[in-house]
Amino acid sequence: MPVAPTDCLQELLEDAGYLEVGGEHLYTVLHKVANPIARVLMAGPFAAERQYSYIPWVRWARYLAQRRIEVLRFDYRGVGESTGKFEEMNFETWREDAQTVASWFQQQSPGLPLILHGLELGALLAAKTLAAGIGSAGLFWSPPRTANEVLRSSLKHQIAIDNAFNTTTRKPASHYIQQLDEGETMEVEGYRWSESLWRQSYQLEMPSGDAGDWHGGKPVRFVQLDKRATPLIGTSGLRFVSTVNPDLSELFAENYHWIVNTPGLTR
Amino acid sequence: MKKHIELRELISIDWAGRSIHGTYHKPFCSGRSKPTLGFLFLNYGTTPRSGGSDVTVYWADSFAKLGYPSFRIDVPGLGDSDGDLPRDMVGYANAINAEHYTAAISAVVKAVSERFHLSGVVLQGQCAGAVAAIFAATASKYVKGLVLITPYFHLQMDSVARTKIGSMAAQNPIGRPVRWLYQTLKRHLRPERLPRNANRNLIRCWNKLTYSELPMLVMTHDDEHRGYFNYIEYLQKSNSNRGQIVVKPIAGHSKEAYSTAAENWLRYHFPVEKDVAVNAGAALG
Repeated sequence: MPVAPTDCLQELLEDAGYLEVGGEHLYTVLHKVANPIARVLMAGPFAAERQYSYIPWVRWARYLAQRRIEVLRFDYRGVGESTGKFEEMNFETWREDAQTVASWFQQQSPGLPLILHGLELGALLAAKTLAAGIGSAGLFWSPPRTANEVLRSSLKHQIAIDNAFNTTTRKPASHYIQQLDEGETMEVEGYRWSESLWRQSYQLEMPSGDAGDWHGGKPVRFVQLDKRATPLIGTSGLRFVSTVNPDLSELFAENYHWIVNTPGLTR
Repeated sequence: MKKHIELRELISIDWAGRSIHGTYHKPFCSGRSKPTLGFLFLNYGTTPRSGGSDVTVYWADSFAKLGYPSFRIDVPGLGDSDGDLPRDMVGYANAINAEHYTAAISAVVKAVSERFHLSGVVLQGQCAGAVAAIFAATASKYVKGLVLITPYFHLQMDSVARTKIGSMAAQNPIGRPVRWLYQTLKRHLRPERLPRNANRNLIRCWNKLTYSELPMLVMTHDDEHRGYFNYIEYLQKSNSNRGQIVVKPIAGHSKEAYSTAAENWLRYHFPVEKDVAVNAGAALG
């Protein structure tokens, strides 16, 4: 399988735009490539993580684009640059977003293999999209077992903030979870969680091998990121991030090589 | 993919061979009267232009509803804008303090003013963005006002870390009285003067803006200065309270509280023309 020469790095051409989905507009950025060898759809992490992981996530997209892999990344409805109110969205909404954007990208000309790539919550949604028959492969970074795991991680950060600034009436995590289980809405890290968001989080699970060959034999790769990838993942309790632009060249190279060396993933 | 939707437009400004990306929030306004002043948000820290918890989107929408064309941009290296970026927060803060972003922000302010036929913009910055905004306001005639959220006036990042630790200690039931005692003794034993790591270049720019009577709104957390040097208070005293500076402590950290304070200040200093305001009011219902 020919490997795209890295000494012919592509000039970057990034095209931002809106794609209408469900009455709202998803913000998308297409990292266009002349004569691409493959396409990658990047599904990002949960809302509260977005601001921390954005810099390395964008740099990863540019890394791929420089090597003739066309990349499309997007914001979920109600998050970041996309329109819509967060509190009116849930995991079904975002699954629809991922599938709509993936279908759109897959239909672009010329036809090329499409790798569905996700980070944390995005990995779960990318996997669901692949399981629905869209895409040629999956690349999943730090996928959670369920969406509830994602929410609990964000909740932990909120509890850390609450306890840091309120030393008289500290509440344990169980108190917050009980409130959510009882159907109450709650503001967590600046986002208002609805009852349906919490309820659905239990139901949205990462497909597993136990459920059969959910990816239809298509290539999949799971990568568990560790703290060297911060702030791509795993900021600490109070979210004080010291590294903003880490050197992730090794991670990028490993995953790029998986794409170009896996049969059927590049033209 | 569309660049324009009903209430927003994606913009990009060419500068130094690269593109600076942003989002324009269209104002409610009548066909007869066009707004003459815009509102431009800089990145909060190193977050993308939507801000932490997408708060800047909320603010831009709010001000656009009042009739102010609002813009959110990613300075070079942040968000969707390409550019070099230091590896860590210390490096980023040093770059801000060295006015690394002043030329880019000045170019954006000029481009936006000219393209949208504005007399200029009010520039908003938070934390490091506030520092960058002060420098840009000194450099650009198109900056007509400043909204600064928790600006800082010191240089070394280790002192920021100390103040963060100090701030956290101040929340601790034991740390609070100990810190109070330390600061009280320090105040009585040493006359008030600028700390050694004060950003004197920034302070010079601040003083210039004060004397030029540029309207400035400074919003601070109501408990922010507990435990360390209060630059704003010092600067106001040393300038004999000159200038058009309003300092507004905000209780809690709600985006609505910040938005309301900024809106009230805007209405006073930069009222939207009457027919624009009437139309905006009708649009708000």
